[in-house]
Amino acid sequence: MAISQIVSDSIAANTVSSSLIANGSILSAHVANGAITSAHITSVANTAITGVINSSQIATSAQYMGFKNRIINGNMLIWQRGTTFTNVGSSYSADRWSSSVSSNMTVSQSTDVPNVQYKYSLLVVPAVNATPAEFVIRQWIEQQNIFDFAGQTVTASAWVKCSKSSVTLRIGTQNATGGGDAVSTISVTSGTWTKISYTFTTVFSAITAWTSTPNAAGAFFDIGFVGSTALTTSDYLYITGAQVEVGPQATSFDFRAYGRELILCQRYYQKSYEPGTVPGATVTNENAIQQDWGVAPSGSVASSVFPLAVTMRTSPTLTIYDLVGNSGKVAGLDAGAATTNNTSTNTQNATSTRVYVRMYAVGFYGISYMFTVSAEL
Amino acid sequence: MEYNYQQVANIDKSINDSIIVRLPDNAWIPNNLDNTDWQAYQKWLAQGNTPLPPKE
Repeated sequence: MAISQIVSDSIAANTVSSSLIANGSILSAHVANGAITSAHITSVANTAITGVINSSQIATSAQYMGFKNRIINGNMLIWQRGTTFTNVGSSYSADRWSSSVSSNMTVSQSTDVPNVQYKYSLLVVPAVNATPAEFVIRQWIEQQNIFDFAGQTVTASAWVKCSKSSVTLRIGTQNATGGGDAVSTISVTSGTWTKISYTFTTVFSAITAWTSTPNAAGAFFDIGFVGSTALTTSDYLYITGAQVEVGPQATSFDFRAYGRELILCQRYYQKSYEPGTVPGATVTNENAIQQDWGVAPSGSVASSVFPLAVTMRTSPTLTIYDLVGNSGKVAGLDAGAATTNNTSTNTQNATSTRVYVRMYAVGFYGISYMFTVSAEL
Repeated sequence: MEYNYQQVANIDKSINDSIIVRLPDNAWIPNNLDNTDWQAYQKWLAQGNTPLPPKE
C-alpha cells in the first residue's frame, strides 16, 4: 500500500509507538504547519532541542524575560521610611507603595507570608470603623517604564490574605491618550493566602500616545477595597508578590536581586541613614555626613555638597536632619568635639544627583547632618 | 496631614523663588513641575492660600 493511502483515521490510537519509527524518518516537511499543538506534546527533554531559540519563536504577546515585573518592591522587601505607619492617608509606607483612601489606614511590615519564598508582606488595617469609597494600596508606575504596555494586554497578580471574601485589583493609565482604567473584584477565602490575578485587556490596548514627560506617571496599580466596603479596625489585608506584566496570564513572581531592587527604589526615595534606621533617629557624628571647613568662616559663605547614591526621577524634595532628628536643621561643629544641634542653614536643596546645604556667616568649623530625598510620583 | 508653607530668603533678603519650605516637616521643595510636592504646593496656592514670609 502506498504510504499516501494511509490516513490518520486508519491508525488506531496509540498503535504507533516511537520504536516503530526509524530515527530521522519523519521530517518537518511531513508535518503540516500547526498540526502539532502543545496538547500533543507531553514533555521535551533538554537534549531534544538543538540550535538556538530566537525571539521570533517566542510569542510576542507576553514578556517572560528581563524587567518582567513593572512593580517595584512587589515582594515588600524594602522599607526605607520605617516599618510601621499610623493614620496613613496618601503618604508612602513600604518603598514605592502609597495609598488611596477615603478613611485612614495603618500600614506595617509583616512576616505573615504565603510561603517561604517571601520574607515580608504589607499589612493594612483600617484606622477607624468606616465604609470608605476606596481603601487601596497603590503603586504609581513611571511612564517610561511601561512605554511597551501601549497596545498590549496586561496582567496583574498578587498574593493576598484578608478578612473579607473579595479583594479588588485596579489599573489605570495616566498621561496617555486613549487609555483608561478597569477594576476587577476577585473572590478569596477569608483568612487564607490566595494568589489572585486579572488580565486587563482594554486599559493599555487603547493607548495611542503617551503625553506629558517620560518621567511622569504612566499608570497606577491598586490592591484593596473599592466601592464602599464596610470596614472595622478588626479587618485586615496582607499583600505581597505584587506583579504587573505584559501578557494574557500571570507568570511566576519576578524575584530580583535585593541590591537591584533597592536601586530601583532609590530612584524615587533615598536616605543617608543605614537601611534599618528610621529617618529622624538619633545618630552619632561619626555616622553622619560631616563637612569640615577647618576654620569658622564667619562673615563668609560655606557649603556642603553630597552626591546621591542613584540619580533620581527628578529634583527631589529634601529633608535635612541634625543628629537628634530636628528636621530642617544641622549640627554645627566647633573646634573641639562639641556639636550644636538645631542649627539653621540658609539654603538646602537637591537636584536629581546631589544634596546641597549652604550657610552664611558661619560660626562653626563644620556641620553634620542626615537627609532624606523624595521624588515619588 | 495639613501642611503650611514658608518662603526662603536669599542673602540679599529677596525671596528665593526656586524653593519653598513645607511645614511642619521642614522639607525643602524645589520649584520643579515634575516634583509632586511642588505640584501639591501649587494646588495649595490655587486654593487661595499664601505662604509665610521668610524667617528673619
